[in-house]
Amino acid sequence: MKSLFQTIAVLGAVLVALASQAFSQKRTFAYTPEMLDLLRSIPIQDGGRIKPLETFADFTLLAINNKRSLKVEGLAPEKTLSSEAFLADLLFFPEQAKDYPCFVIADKGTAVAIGLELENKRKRDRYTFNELNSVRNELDGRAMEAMRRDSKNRSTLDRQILNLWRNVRLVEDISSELAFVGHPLPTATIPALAQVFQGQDVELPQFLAKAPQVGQIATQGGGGPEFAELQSELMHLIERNMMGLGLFPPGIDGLDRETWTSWSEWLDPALMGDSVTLAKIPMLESLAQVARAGQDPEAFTARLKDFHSKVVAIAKARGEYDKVDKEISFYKWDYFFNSLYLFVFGFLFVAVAWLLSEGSKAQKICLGGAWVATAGGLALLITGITMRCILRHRPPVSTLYETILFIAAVGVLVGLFVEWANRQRIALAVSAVMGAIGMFMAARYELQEAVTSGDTMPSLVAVLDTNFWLATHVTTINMGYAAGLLASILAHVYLFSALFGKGRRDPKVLSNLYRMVYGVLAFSLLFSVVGTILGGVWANDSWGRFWGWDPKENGALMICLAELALVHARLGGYLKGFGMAVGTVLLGIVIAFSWWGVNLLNIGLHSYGFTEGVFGWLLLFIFSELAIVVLAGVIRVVQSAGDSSNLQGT
Amino acid sequence: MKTFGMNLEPARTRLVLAGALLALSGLSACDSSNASGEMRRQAPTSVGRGEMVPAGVTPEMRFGSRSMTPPAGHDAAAAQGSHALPEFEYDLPDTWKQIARTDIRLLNFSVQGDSGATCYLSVLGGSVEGIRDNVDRWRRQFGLPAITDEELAGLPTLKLFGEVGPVVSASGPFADGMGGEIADAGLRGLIVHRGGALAFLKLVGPREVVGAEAANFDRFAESLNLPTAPTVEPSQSGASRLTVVAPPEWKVKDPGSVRLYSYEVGDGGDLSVMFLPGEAGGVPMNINRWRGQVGLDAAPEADLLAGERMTVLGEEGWWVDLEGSYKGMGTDVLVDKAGLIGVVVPMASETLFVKLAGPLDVVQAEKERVRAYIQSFQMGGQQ
Amino acid sequence: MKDKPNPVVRLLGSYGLCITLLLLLLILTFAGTWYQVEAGLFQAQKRYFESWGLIQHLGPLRIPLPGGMLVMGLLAVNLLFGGFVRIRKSARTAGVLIVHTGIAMLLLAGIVKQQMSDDGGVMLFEGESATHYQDHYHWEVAVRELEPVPSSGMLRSTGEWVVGEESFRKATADAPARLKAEGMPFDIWVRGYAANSQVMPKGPMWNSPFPVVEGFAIRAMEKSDQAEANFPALYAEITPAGSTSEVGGMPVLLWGMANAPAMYSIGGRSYAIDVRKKRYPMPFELKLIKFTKEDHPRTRMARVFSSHVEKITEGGESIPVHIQMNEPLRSGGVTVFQSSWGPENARPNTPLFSGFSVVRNPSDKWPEWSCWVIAFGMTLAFGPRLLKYLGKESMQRRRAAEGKVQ
Repeated sequence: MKSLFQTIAVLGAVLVALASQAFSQKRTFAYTPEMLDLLRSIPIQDGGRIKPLETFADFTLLAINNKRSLKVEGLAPEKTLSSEAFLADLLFFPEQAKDYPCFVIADKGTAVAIGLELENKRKRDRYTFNELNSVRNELDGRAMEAMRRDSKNRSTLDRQILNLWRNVRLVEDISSELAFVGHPLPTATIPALAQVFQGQDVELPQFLAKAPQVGQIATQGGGGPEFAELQSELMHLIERNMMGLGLFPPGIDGLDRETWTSWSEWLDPALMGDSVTLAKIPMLESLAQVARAGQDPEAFTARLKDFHSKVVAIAKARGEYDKVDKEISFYKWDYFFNSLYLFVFGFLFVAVAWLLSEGSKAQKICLGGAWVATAGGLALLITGITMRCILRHRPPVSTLYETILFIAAVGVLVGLFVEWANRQRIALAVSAVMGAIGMFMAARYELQEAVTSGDTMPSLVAVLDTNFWLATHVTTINMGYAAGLLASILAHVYLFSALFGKGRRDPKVLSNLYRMVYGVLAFSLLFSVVGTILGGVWANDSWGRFWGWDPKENGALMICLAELALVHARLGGYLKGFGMAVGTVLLGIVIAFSWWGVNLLNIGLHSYGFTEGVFGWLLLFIFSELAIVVLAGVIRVVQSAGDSSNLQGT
Repeated sequence: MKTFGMNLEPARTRLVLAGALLALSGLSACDSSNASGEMRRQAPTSVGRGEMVPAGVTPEMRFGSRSMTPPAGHDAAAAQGSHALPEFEYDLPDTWKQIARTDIRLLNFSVQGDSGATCYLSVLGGSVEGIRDNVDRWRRQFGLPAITDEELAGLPTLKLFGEVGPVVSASGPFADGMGGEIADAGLRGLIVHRGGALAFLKLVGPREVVGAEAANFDRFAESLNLPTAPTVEPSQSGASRLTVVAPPEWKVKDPGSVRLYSYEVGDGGDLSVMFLPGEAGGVPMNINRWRGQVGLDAAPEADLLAGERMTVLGEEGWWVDLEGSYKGMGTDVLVDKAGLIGVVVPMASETLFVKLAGPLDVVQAEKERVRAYIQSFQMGGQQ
Repeated sequence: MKDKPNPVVRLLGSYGLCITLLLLLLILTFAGTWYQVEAGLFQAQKRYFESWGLIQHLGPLRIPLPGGMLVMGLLAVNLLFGGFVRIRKSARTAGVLIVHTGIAMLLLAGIVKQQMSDDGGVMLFEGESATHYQDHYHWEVAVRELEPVPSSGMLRSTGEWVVGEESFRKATADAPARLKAEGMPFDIWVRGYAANSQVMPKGPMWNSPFPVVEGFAIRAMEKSDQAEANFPALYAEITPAGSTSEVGGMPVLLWGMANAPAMYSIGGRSYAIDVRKKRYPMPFELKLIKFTKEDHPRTRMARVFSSHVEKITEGGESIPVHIQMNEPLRSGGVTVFQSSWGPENARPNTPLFSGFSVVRNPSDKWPEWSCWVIAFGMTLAFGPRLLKYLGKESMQRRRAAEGKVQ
């Protein structure tokens, strides 16, 4: 009985089957470098731009797994899968990929909330799609609940569940992209279509090839009830698969069309007889052939090559491919992570140089090494930023992630300039430290961006779409931030030196440090003030008001005010060296708040997934800086009390 | 404090000080109040929105809900015509002629040429209780006192959009407060409550015209159907927002990609919930398709539409209850005594289908639970 | 220092005051930013930046703070005395003086903007045009004299009388405001005003502070934090011009959100009466020819929205202009910005309107100029010191190197 009634809507059931019992072959061969190269460089339109599949895969896996690779020992021929290999498995070997432990659940509470068994899992163990799918009802229900709450009122648990739910949906969508392969549509059983398809059941590409004829029958309304149901199911498929991958460019005839589509998006236009859409069918067929290659690595490579060449040829003709190669090379060189190493080495070299005897040959070598490493790090960093500018056709800074890169670069550059001017080895060390901190932050924040926007090169909203203002206001103000932070780090050195270091005995050391702090502060003041006013001028050009007390503007103003207060306090004689150093450390807090904290206040826009991570770090930073200031003050008082009692004693 | 800089003569000091204070006082916005109330004459102004005023303006038109749509008859709107304004379906009496609609008058007709009689349809937000207030308002226009409970209960009723409401008749001198006056006027009006709104159909004009058109009015009200759904917008699909409460005995099945929810009900019953975009072929066609599945012949459209209704998610749906035999498509096995119950609900931009099919005894036993299940449907927040 | 300077001048121009004020403004800015999270921008602005003083709540503490107006006003005074009058004038301080001049320009631009600018908007569908723009917050009562447009059932305006909200905002039943004009054949007695309201059919569940008119009544609501979300309503009675009292007048309700005006006929003519957002004239007529909104492909993020408009001058000459984000139209003392579009939930193919902000601000360009002045001044102030420092350092190094060689 049951099986009979399950076939009541034959077509419905078939299509249900497509999604649920997709081709279940296993991959027995390991991906060769050639295959991976091909996979990486498939162009895809995502987030408003054309990018290599590698970038898409990287950020997808980062969002799901918090890493760019995936451990699959025993589940696949490889021990570890690169992101593009993972994506290929989702597309071509979905049943296998559904057993990959790829979902990280950061919090035990989240797993418990959706009823996952925890017995054999450690805290940060990964879960498979099939495991999560087994508690799908609970997950969906919880996600719906969370979604119904206003984004302001969502708890951490809500956000994590939503996050997980989106990731599960994403994996499900990608893994059903080619689910039609090996599942012919029952066109033979529909009388009206018998002639069109010569009484054969056909698969989606062949079905689409005849879409204009099918569409004609649809508009004439002569298809009968079975046909109407097929039509409804197809329409429904379109809706359900809206998340499909933008793998198919409009053909040569459609150069004026900008949007690439997934196959589900062109089902409808194809039924309407749209010729540009029909030109995509060979690409779909070609992609389906890759999935059919099954366990034959040679066929897999050959067919992948075929699909790759078809898409790339069109993308090239459309003038959209040149950046794909550049982007692959950009990620291959991994400029920012490599510069992190160099900055760390730079700092280590200076540190060793400090310990070595003054003027010795070994010291000179170490110093040389420090210079080479730090400058090398800076060179890599600047190259990376430049590559991004070329890829995006943008000035260096237009997202929060890019402010990290840019601020680090400017900080190191200014620091090296100071070192070049005074050769105290202090600015050199500070530069290396700033570069290293910056690159570490960049790596951490990239993960955040993966979760929130799936890319670090997102499309920009209309108001930001102005290279003139991005180049002037945004770069200027970030130079102000960079120099202010450099001054703040130098001020830490001053405090340390004054309390524990050489500075206690040698006032010349302190006055030297003081000059550095003040000089860099002046540099920062110039750029902060000019940058802030430029921001107002921009606002005046976009919205007709120069100043509106909005959080971002206020943040910039606070930096200007703090720096102006410091400069005037020095002029008025209120603050001398030690006081200025303390003030500059406090300035660092103001800058950190303006740079990061202000984004926390923009409720709704940036708050998702942001509060826990960044907010925690920001608070930690603010409190530790305050602690440093208080501690420095206390030690200073104790020391001067000691000094005066010593004096009395003598 | 260090002192440096130059000294100032006292007079100069005062001058500078005064200047500074002046600047300072300028910072506070002056709030001068003009108590005279003298109005200023100026040439006509325009800020883009239609500056023209329709000749007859009613309080409903002035204070009813409004949407930011381009003014009727506007170039851009005309070019896009069907998208901007919904199209109602109705049988137009011979003596009526459609005239320009307004923001408030969704449909507007002149009756019997230039007899001065008009009939129009308007929809405003409101509750069931609002019906009485509006009956009173209409009566007031004829100088009649507020309606009593007995009178209200005794009013004849008519159906509009499937809802029943009172028919209000009145006659006498009529003044709409805007210079529209008819010495011996008649009114035939109908107010129904539907989905959080009140729909008004109002025929007003000289008494003899209204009297003669009463039958036309009633027929028109019966024939009037809601606008057909405009283009589909996928983001608004109910599929992503529907929440349900199912009996625990039903076994949840993987809905796959087509269905939204799927259950195994009893022994061999299959229940599915799905949304299809747009009209999905229309209610009669879909019911006939279901009939075909249990071996019944297609029924005439009118009979199908006259069938039992049920309200789902605030929309009206058609309840279907079929018995028959079933021949599985693609198989030759014949199953006697099959049942199929369900509901087809056309919604704003899509159609909701809930269907339970299976052995007759299973379907019969589950009927009440299926109804309760359907009543549990809720639309959650926007995705 | 020959004479002792005036102590008041000394105080007003002192570094101490300067630092105190800068830090106070820093604290205000921080608190005002934080306050926005709970109360929104508008409230925060009023409380912290456009005030003379306030009480800051900090846990159980209540700390009185001077308001932004006071602090900024004093800063201006301090700048004047400290930054211009008392500062030593020499080549060394030239840069600083220039910077201070730039800051003064900026402050002046702010004052001019606040005192002399109008600020509003216009929304146009394609084909529509505007001669005026509307204030975001302020209201006026307008009476339009109407004449019929042949064979259309519509009436159009031949002229209008207007009066600003200050004339009727405080009107009550006991102290009505009488709105009248030379040549206007009737008077409007405003007998009630609600700054934020809804007009709806009178039901039993609520009471109106004003009489019910034709079944509708004014429901007064609390004023919204967002000034632009307030829609006023008026209860008024209309009498023929020159009546000595309002007794027997025709009652009308006017509402800022009404779809259509109230109508009044007298002497064979009809008049439309409205409460509407205050209108300011533009120096030209603005006609929207085409509005374009484009999304980034495969996203719902707007990439660009822009309007092709015609600027129609008084002489009837029409000049095509393209307005888009960051590229406003500046002409005849006003600036027209592309600011928004709608309706928000538009379906595909629904006609969209284009929203423009319009600002008349005589000091429009001053901040930009001040920016260059300040940049120049700072470079002049800090540049020579940097060069001096670099020179000194390299000299020291050379000496040290020579010393070693010797």
